[in-house]
Amino acid sequence: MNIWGISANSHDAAISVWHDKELQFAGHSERYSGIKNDGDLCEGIIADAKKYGEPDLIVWYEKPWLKTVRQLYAGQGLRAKENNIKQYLSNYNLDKPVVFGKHHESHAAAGYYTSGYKDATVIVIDSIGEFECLTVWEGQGNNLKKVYSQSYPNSIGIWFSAMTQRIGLKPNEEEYILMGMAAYGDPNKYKADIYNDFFKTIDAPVVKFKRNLHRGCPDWRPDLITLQDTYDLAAATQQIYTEILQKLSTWARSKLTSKNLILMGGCALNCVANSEITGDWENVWIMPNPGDAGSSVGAVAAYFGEQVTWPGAYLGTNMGRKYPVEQTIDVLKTNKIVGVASGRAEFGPRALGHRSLLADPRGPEIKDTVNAIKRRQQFRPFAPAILEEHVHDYFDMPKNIDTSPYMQFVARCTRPDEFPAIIHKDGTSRVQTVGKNDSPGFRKLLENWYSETGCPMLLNTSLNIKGMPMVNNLKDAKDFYKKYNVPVLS
Amino acid sequence: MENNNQQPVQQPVQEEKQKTQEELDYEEQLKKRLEELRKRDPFIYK
Repeated sequence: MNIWGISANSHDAAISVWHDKELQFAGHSERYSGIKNDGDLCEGIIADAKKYGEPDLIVWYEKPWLKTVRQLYAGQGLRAKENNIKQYLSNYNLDKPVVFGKHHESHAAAGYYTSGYKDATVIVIDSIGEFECLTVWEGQGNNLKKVYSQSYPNSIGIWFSAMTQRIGLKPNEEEYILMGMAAYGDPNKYKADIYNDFFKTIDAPVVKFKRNLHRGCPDWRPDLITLQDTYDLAAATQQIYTEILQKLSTWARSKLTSKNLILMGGCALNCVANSEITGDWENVWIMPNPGDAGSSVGAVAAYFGEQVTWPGAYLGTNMGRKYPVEQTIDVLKTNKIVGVASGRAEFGPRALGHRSLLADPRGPEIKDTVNAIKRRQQFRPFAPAILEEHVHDYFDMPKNIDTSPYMQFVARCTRPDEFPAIIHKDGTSRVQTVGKNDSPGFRKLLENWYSETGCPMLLNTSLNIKGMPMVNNLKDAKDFYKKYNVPVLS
Repeated sequence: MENNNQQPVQQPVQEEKQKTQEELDYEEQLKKRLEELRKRDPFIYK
């Protein structure tokens, strides 16, 4: 039996395809449509998903009628027609039986049932689905039980997005840029103001707000308008989020029995805050796509209600072809920078070697070179991908974290003078460790690069044209080459 | 005895840092963006 999990009709649409409880495919609609964070399905992703089997059953990631009620309650009008999911799917000729999951349960299940843990505490923090915005779950064997729930409008995610918007960035898209900007600001300058003006209670697990931020807060403190104000606001926001996460983590560790933590929801992409709570736990698992796109996997996992085998993050479009190890090294030696598009695309927001722009991380000039190609703000850092067994030689990893295959944590580099390109303003790097069980091709590339240069890491950033989603297929790779004149090997 | 004729100590004048064109452009853009948001009154999330 083939089951498709779908999250769509909102933002970051995605499909997962399962055959007899085995995850065969998971992809993002944006990579096919070319529209960043595309909320709708498109012909390309459906055609690709069908290569792994026509669906016998579709599991939708949330309850549309409950969402309709919330939207009405929130003042967004009656959207029942727009939330008619059978009709929505019919528009794509997906006239199949549909079952509906729940938004936060899909998040929690995506984390717990892919973790391999026998027990775990699951914390889900996001903006909004139906009504729930923060939930805590206890996983025991195949049982996943909700132990705390906090509802709209008390949403940590909406507050974070409102602050993202307040500093001129796109909410629900550029929160990661706020996180990067934070390192340039003084967190203490406006922290008290933000606490006083927005928060009513922070008494973990309860986090309540003084006002509903669903419409953002563009009027808040109009006097704060300079670039430095923006940095200071970003720093304060990031610090407050970290403090909230720390309180939730401490509460969960003390009240619940498991020593394993699973973080899910869009807020779980905050790698800076994630790194501050690892010491509370023996193990931490964050599924590489913890936001709504990952719920296309989670909805089906919740439907099964049991642990599934996690096949790794390379679940998207298959470009086939052997990983171009030797050619990549040749170009890196001469050109210092090269694109690679090979094998299956990553499922999740991070390029993990299969759709990556790679560079020699040594020396002072490479950051400007990559920035010139990516045409992005100078304050945004680039990440290192490093052979797993060497990570402690170069980085102080967060407590209890030895591997970070999906770039979910930051670590202080202990040899910053040698690798300025991959170090952020605060001295940290968003590390990707590459182990023997991760991508064999990318692993081989790093091994050969190390044996030829003595350097076990490469700068790794996503292969995309500015403002566009990551390269998905050969045509995209050729477009990238035409636009930037940087060779892309596949 | 206190010398009342003593001149007050001159405080060093903090010169305001000249803003770069990039910073000025940024402020202008941010003002425009926030003004646009005030008019639109959009919901951040669906």
